[in-house]
Amino acid sequence: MLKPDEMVEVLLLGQKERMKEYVDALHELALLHIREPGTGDGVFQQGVPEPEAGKHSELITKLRIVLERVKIDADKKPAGQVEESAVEKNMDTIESIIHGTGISLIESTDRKEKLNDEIKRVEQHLSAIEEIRKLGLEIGDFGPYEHIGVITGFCDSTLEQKFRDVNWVKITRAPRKARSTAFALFYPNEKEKELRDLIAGLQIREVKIGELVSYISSRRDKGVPVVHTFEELTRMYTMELKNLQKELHEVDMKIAYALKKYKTEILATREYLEIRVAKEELPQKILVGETSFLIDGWLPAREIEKLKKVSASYGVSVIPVEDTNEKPTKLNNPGVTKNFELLTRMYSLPRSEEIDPSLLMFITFPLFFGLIIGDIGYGLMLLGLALYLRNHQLVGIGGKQVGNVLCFAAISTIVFGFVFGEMFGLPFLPHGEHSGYAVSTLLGIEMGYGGLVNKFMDINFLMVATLIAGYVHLLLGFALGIYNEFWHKNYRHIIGKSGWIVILTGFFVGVMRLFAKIPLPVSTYYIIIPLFVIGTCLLIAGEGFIASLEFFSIFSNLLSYIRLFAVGVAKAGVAVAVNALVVPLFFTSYGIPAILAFFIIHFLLLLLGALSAGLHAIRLHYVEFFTKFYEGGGFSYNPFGYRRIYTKRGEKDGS
Amino acid sequence: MAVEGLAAIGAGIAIGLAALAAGIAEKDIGAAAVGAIAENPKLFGRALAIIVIPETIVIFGILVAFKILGMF
Repeated sequence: MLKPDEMVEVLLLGQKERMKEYVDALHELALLHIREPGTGDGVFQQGVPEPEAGKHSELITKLRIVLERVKIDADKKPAGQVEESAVEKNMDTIESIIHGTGISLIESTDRKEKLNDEIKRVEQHLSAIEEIRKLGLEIGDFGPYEHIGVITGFCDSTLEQKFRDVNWVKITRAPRKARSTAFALFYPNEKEKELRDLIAGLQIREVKIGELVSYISSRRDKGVPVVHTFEELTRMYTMELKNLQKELHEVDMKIAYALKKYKTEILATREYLEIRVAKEELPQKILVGETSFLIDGWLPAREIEKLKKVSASYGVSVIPVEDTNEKPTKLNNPGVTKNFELLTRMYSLPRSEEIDPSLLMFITFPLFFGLIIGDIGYGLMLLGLALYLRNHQLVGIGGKQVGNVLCFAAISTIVFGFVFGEMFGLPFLPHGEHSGYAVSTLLGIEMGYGGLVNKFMDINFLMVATLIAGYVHLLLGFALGIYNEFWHKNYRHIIGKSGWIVILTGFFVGVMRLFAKIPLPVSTYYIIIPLFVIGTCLLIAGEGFIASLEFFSIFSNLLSYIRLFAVGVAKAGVAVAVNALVVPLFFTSYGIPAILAFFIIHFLLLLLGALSAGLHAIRLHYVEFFTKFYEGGGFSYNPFGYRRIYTKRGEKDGS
Repeated sequence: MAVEGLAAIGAGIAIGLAALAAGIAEKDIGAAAVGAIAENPKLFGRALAIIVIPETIVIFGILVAFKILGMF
């Protein structure tokens, strides 16, 4: 639980003529993470892929491109699984749909992308023409002239400012509505260089009338009609736009038809091909000799019997190897705690022998998050948001794990809301400076409970509580660090880490004396100075002199936990300010808009709050906690196999 | 001017300057971190951890502010 699954490395040695069957069985088992071999050693050589692999991998590449472009939603549970032989029979049809003479999805989607680009371009030109027409000039007016040059384009008012003192330029402007409007600038040819220097620093989007005309002409195959007026030009562009849109619609229909008719077949073919290609390309990842083959890989230690049993039936022997290679990591967290692997992975995947902090994050992350926000109203809104995010995306954030993590954070927020006696920044009972506005008076109910701790009054208590939380959290970090070093038999580092613990305790005593005013029998200095001296000695003994320069970093680590309440107080302060402005309006004629505003503003505050609470809670883990023990940098366990959804193995293969 | 008023100004300066300093420090780190993430999105977690390191300065500011205001 606190550690990833134990992995063992095995060598699989078998007869070459049974390799294909065995690879099938191995793939179906989906247990072995195959390790790519070196160059071989004379007897064994890296194998070559099977002859059909090239053709299949080409098709699967195209299939992937198409599916990337059209974004089919994969079914969670398809109606039924198709047998592999049936898929194989269908392959030619699917192949022709993908890139053959049939519908050729790859061409159609290509065409669709091109059409979209062209439509965008034509629309841009059309709107440029529309704007330039507002200048009141005709195409002929833009030249070419013998002695005068013309520049047309879009710019904001900096253009006029630049040419305020220049008398050899004539600027024509469209009536100004937007910030950047069309202009035409006429100048004598001999001043061209001077002009270019002047406009170099301006943000001008230049439009060449000649290009607008030639662009549309080049799109017509037949004789190019000479365009004299903007009206004609606009008409031609509009017609072109219509044609393009019509073609796009046709292509869209074609794609939609193919997808509707063949969706399951396409997805099944993809699955079949992924499996097939993986198997066909496997020989490249193993060593093959004259009569035998050798596969090197890892699997979870508890699965080895299963592998042995299957291998025995193919005459393959399984040889466990003692090795020093870095092993792949398979995280092992039960039930809901699995969701918190997300936070660990975001930092870095643990290495195989390392402690996996996900389970600890399951406890501490929601705790810290809830402590920071601590408000029933916000907790309930966050819970709603979390449930929504489980199945939807919001600005790129979403997914089941994110939603579940937030659910726990929301529940903790609600619990702390009860502790603080707060709902939408309103206290349960009126007291102190914001008397009058409280949950009980607003709802007109009797409440006997006003919360255990007040965010604004009990600052000292909160500071002490968060510092104790920080001390415990850091101690836990060091304890895990010592465990890791023990595992690696780095006894010197254990001494160093103990030194840190002693120094941390010294600071903790000092800080407690300062904030909590705990009476000590002797002067504080008699306690903390020996602790600092002992700790520093241990530190220097364990990690060298340089490490002692970091002495104060542990102090800043400890104080960092004060943010748990500081950020919360700042948030609650904003909420109180909002309430002071909005709540009095509830009882006036603006009642309904005020109530609406109340919820909208608090929802926005929640988004900001959840963002900062989440970041601060994560940061306390990544910066303060992880640096005490965590290394990371593992690579993921990715067994040779496939989770079948659409296909199943045929009867004749046996399974 | 009343002592309380001066104390309040002092507390404000303590937090304000600390926050400003943290902001200046984070600006450069953040820019570099975004560059690194653009190269390799897997660095997001580590980059985040590095970006927020200067934030602790603000906590010191808050402590000093509370101390000035005599809240503990």
